Amino acid sequence: MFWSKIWFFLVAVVAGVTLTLALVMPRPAERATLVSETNRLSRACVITEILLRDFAQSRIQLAEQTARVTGLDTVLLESTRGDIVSGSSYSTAKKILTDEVNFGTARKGEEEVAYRPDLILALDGRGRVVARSGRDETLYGDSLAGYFLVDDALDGYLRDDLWMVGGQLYLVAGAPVVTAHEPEWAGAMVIGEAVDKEFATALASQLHVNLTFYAGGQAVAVSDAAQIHEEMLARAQTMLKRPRGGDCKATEAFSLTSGDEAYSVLLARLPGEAGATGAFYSVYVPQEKAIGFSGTIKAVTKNDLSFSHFPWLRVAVVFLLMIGVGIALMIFEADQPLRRLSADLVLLAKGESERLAEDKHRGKFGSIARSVNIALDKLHRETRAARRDLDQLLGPLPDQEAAGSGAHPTSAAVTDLGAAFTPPPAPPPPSEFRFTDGGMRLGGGPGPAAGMGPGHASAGPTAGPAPGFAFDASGAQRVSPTDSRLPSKPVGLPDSGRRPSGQSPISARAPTPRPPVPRTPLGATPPPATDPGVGGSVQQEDFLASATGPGRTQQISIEDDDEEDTVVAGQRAAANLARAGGAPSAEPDDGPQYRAIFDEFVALKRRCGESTDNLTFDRFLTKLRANRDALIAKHRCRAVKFQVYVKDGKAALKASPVR
Amino acid sequence: MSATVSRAVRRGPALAAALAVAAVLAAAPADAPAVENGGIVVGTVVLAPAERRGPVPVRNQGFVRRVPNALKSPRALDPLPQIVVVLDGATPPEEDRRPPTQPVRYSILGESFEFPLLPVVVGSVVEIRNAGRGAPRLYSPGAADLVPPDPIGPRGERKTRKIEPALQTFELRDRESIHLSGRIVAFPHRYTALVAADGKFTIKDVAPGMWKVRIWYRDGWAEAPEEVVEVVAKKESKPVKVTLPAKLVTRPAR
Repeated sequence: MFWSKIWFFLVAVVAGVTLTLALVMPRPAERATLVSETNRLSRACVITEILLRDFAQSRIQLAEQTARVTGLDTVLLESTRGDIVSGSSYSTAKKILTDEVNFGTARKGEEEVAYRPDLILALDGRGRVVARSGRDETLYGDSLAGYFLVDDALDGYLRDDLWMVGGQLYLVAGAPVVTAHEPEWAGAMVIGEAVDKEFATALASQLHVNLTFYAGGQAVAVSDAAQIHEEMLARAQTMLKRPRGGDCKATEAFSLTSGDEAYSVLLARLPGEAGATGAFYSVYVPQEKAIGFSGTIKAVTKNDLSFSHFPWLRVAVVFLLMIGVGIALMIFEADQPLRRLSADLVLLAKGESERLAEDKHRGKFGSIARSVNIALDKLHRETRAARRDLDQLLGPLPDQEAAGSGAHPTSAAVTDLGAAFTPPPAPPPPSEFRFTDGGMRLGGGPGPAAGMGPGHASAGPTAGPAPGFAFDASGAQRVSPTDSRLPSKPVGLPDSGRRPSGQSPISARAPTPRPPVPRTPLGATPPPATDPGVGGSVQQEDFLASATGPGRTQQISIEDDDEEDTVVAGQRAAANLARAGGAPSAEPDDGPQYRAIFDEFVALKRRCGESTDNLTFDRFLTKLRANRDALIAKHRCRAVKFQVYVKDGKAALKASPVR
Repeated sequence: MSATVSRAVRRGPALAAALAVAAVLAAAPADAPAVENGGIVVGTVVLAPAERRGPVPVRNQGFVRRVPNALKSPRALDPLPQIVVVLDGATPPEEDRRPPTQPVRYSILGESFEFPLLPVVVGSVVEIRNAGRGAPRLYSPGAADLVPPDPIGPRGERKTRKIEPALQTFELRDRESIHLSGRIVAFPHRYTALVAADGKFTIKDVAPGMWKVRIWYRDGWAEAPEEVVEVVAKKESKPVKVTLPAKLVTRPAR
């Protein structure tokens, strides 16, 4: 089972690792999503900067084109030379900006519409506004000199900038106005585009992100309604302290929450004058919510489980490999050894082998085989001990041993255990002695009557008086309070009409009437003595002994079924007694007691419809004394009490040691 | 007076000339009270050729770099608006070292101060007047108490504390925009003048004597050849010609 255990461990490890991966897998995926979002934000930020740069370039070109509009140079030069900006200069310039300048078209949704910048300024050479379009159209004469873009444009440069004017952020571009005939500085043109919600939304829609522009400490253009501006402005303070340049790549994305929505945000500063006062823009996207393991499972689609996306073949191969190896190991380490052990046990049960082959079995199965062998050895020893006891009780069984040896030439042990394991080759004798161990079942099988008991007297009736000793541990044979074998139960006499024919009442042969004696229990029995009358016709005795332990009751039953066997058994018992202690001596003290038992036994046999023709008191007395002595010797008790009872419809006698 | 001249120079050559003549007429000799006996110092600050001065420095940038227009070469750097001509080397009378009793006005015109650099006598108070449309919140880096921090609305005025010590430049900035910037520098006396766009300058009511002509550029004395001018009472001095190097280098006043 070693490799099976190892394999089970490996499978468990693989299962554990797989489960761990399944539970952990969403987290790396979420991190990967976060990284992906961060990269997406970074790209969107860079693209925003690129688009704003392109817009600035386009705006500069537009400002340069506007600065070359015919007539504008003259008006601005004239205004530059004057102390103030005259109304006529304003009107002329205003008319030119309105009628003469074509700003082209711009795409608005699906169609191209005429484009007009949000801010158009015509400045004279001193930076004063000669005309303006868009914001504050009616104002003129005010000086915008000082703006870096205006000063640079007046100095002859094309450039862009970001202005914060009246709480509105503008992307502006400036170009100098040079007179057409003789190149002379006449003024400058400024074109501006308001950064408002429309601008932010249009730009964000191209990038598929959210975009917000901040200037002057507030959000000036938003593409999304997320209220994350306060936290955004607070986060921007850290960014504003760093050196300028490459914010989209240098700054790290961070998370902000608004209500139950979380956003990944990336900040980048805006350039120009507005940027110098803290203007910046934020690119942000809603964060993917952490879905965890169950969410991942729910998110699995049918397509995910298709053969093109899921390695079903490899999974099946691995699964079958694991199952196959596991089954192979089970067969190799469990099924086959168990089958071998089972086969060995069957051989043992059939008697075709004496012991289990321990070397053929490995591991636990070898242990089981060894345990069975140990039990068999113990059983052998106990059988031999019982045999010795019987020999002491009944004398040697040369005929039986010889017959047993002839019937089972394998070994003496088999002969000893024949009663337990060998089916009877011949019908059982009419009566038997049986030792029954109520606490230990030996031999198993259907029961002693079927094949373990007297049948083992393989010599059969022709082989002599086979004792028919058997160990019967069957629970069915165990005496229980409700068992009919219990003694001291009034037994109803059978009807005379039902008595078997040919049987005469035993009272005709019984000795002279004796005074009644108590049936049970019998008192202390004097030391055993030989009975000179043993050689008479003695009924064969069947000892059904139940020895559940020291000090417990041992029962002996006496049945009278076959006269011939009884005589032989009686002779053997007499011989045994003679070998043990000489001829049995008369014991006048216990005679009355045994008489009472005898009378009760005879009466019970009659009630059971049994014949009492060959039953005499002397032989009965001899037998009881012999049994008493044997039990006293075996159990080292001080006395033995006998009880008469019915067993299987027949009268029987039980002996109990008294300590 | 010099401020008035400079402003006039910026706004028109004719007006500037008239004011210069008036200033000369108002000069007085040095040994008498300055206003009565002072002389007049006139001169010209000559810049290096435009190609040597280089372009106007880049002060900020938008999304793209500035590029010169294709029709005419851009203007070269013009340091004159930030130059103050200062007479040094003699001791002016006491009254010429006293600050004026009235605040010196320094106006904001739109998105810039009327002069980039305003010279005053040490201890003077400057009154800042907003002539533009905005409402700047002025402050002075390094001198937090120089000007009130509250916004100056259109046509509003704020007075600075006394401008001292001498020869220290105080910069004024707007918290709302980076382009609005002006400088105030205090000198020990009133013998200073801003330079007109053509480089000419005039210092009136100068005490007679030998004076060295020095150039203050933005934050310090410019390293330029020193010219000496003799001031005679009630007379105009010989024109002083101060030639500036192409690259102006300044050194701290102290």
